[in-house]
Amino acid sequence: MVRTLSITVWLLLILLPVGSGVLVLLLTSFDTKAGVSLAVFSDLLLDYESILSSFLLAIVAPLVACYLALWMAPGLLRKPRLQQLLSPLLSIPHVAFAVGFMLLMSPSGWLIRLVETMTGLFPTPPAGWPLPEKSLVTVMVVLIVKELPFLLLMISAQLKQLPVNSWLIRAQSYGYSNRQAWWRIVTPELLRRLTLPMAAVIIYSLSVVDIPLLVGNNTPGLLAQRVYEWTFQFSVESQVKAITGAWILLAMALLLLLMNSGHSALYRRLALNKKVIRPGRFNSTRAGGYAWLILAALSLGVLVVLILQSLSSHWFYPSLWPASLSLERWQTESHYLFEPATHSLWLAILSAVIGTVAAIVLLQRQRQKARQSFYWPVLMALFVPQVPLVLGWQQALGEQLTDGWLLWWVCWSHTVYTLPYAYLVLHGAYTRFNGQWLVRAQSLGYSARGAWWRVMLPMLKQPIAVAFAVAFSVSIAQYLTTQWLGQGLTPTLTTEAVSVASGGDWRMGSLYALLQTLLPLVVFILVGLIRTKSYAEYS
Amino acid sequence: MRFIAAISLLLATLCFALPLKASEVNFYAWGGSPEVNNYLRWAQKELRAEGIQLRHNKVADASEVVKQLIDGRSNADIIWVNGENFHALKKAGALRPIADEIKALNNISPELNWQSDFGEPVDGLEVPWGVGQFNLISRPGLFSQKAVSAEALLDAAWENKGRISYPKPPDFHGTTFLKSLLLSLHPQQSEVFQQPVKTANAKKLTEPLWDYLNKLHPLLWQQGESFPSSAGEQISYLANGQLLMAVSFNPNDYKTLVNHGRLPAGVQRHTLSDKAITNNHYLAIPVSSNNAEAAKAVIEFLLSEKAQQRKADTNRWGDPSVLKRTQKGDKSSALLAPTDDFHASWQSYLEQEWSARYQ
Repeated sequence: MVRTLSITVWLLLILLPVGSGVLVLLLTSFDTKAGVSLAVFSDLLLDYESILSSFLLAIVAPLVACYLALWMAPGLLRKPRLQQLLSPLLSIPHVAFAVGFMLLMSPSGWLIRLVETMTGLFPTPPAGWPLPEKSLVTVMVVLIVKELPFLLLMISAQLKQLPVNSWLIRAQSYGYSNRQAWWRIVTPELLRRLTLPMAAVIIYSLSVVDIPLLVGNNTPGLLAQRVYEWTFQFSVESQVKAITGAWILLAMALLLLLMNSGHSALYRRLALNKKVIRPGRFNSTRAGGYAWLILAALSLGVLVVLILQSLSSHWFYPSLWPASLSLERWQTESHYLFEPATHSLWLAILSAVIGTVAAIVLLQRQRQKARQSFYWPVLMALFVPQVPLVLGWQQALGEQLTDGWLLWWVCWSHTVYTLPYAYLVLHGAYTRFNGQWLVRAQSLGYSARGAWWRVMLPMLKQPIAVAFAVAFSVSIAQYLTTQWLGQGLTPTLTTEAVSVASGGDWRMGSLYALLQTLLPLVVFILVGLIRTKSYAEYS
Repeated sequence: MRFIAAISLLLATLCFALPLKASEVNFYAWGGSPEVNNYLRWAQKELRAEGIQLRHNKVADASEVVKQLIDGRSNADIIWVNGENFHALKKAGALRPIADEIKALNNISPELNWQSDFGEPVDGLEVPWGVGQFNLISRPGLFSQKAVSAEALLDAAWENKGRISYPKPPDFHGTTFLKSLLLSLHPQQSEVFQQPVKTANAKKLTEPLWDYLNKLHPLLWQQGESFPSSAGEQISYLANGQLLMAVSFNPNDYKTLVNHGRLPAGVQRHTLSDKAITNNHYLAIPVSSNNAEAAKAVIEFLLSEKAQQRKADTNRWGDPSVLKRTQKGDKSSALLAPTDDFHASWQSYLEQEWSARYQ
């Protein structure tokens, strides 16, 4: 049964969607008029600034986020409840987070306004502030802060699978300090299990468009951003640049993923060869605690500033508070929210359930075949550029898109994206699940299927719930798939939010961003409430 | 089992909960302005009384639907376009000739030069919906004249280093900014820009512009290393005090945006060069529309006296009417002194030359 199911998943959710998209990509690439051109290819390579910035961003942001997460993660061991702090940051859509973050931190942001109100130093927003409105550094900081909670969540899910405490105690008996044991014994194992989540973070950093459009420097911008802009310009030259640039991005993604797969091995070599040094005065544990505090303050600050924006009549520099607050905007919009909110909710629930179940099917099949490595094709959808992919689906589906099945196809397109995320969240915990438990269960008289249902599934409850929550938020964030396959007939909170945001009126934009945040927030909080005993501790 | 039952129940309710109506008129229009969205909600209500279901399919950029009409599929019945998007659709043969069938065109103001859209002949493939006039919105005291010359702009930039910028071309606001500068740098030769780039001596004509920008850019916001991505973004920077000016294609924005709390009171409107580059934004029906008759009825309504009056109200959208002026107590305010847009070929020429130099 698992075999049949896994073949179905492969066909419906991987081969069909990615295949048709790649086919369109190839067809366009070899188009004689607007296909890939060598001349343009070398032009783009010569104009290396974009490529270099993109590369830098996709290496630095994930690495910094990763090591910050590893540094902060011991806090999760001491206080597992800290995971709840991550929920708001995980739920806020990326662009909304960037806007909220800039409303706090930019040269005209709240922090500067506070200084201005108290000292009168900045009658106009200061130039030369280290976090300018638009720069590569700004993009980097926004991405790091946004990726950090995701990686912490991934680590938290893994920590529940590992006998970390007994490792730490044993290490201490050999004379290691807690910190040293963490970096030398726990971290190598965590990094190995983080390979896939890191792959997702890297691909995201390389392909993200909306954040650099908002806070990135744009002469020239990042490569993904330029490819996106060329895609929507209709001259032949732009189309050639778009398709050629897409291939360069794809090659960069492959290279980065290759580097990523060597990351944990490299770390292991470096960490184990390093001499043990006496810990200095710097109290790393306490600093980690402050980092959690800053993260919490930041997520609270972003939420508050978005709420204030959505209520404000007007709010100009250097006022610390909006001129007046009113519910009018919320009241007016409330009449129009039912349709997009229902669409968002249904699409997210369905595509997250299907995506998570499909991921479990694939992983179970892998266990049966005793393969621990992961299937690259599952992640393909994440790094094939979305525009040709969705255009390919539109062409393949044709008339299907006009009748009553529309919503199902939108749901299917969301599942194409929820599956890879559910898969990579679950992969570490599922494939490294200790088979001894199943053997013991079967020796106690359970059938193989019974052991899976009664022992393995409950033990993996936590990672499965996290996978569902991540898949849910992935579905909530879908814009282009919803807009194009849904033909505008399935508006969601996200399609509303993205179109409103394009005008730059962040009072209305914040309202929709908050609504977008609400659904995943509930899911993440519920997931955080799941109490699982750390079974791994007994192994 | 319970889980599976619950899921099937969900699926069943879903099937009943979402009837999708086929008789709707799908109007694809940019959804970035709450005022425009509210205006279309009103139109929706009015049209429902006539038995027409209008659906505003909000997009972040009109080029999304253009891309679909050219390379994919679209159920659009009406689209809101102009400029490059119209040009691309016309070239692809994706639009219906509708001008002869729209009766409301008889009431269009004769002063409106709507037969050419960014220099491209309209050929009846779209009908004007509103008027765009390129203007600057500034904090009081930045410019002393109503008409700002290129030189005055440079002086203002000297005195307010890092506080002036413009949207990055190829955003059409940015490109129009460059065109206005060209007009100001060549006050005697505005006709030459109506000619195709090839027949004019573009290189020689634009040289003063690039010299000018080379002087201007180091004085701009972030030393001209980054530009606002759009006019909307620049309005936000103006509101937050990072910038002292923004650009707009709506001649009433300096009033409407204040009325809606988007900009502080007291901002002023100027033209860059002596006259405002003027063009229109249009409504068009794609060839692929399944509901063209109802779509035409919607367009008739949107061009009616009632709908245009409401659109021009500066407490609402504030987009100037395209109709003949009927009574004196007209709510719409006077337009700026207009000048025609450049020939379409200048658009991509300026964008390419700009990109080659500054990005």
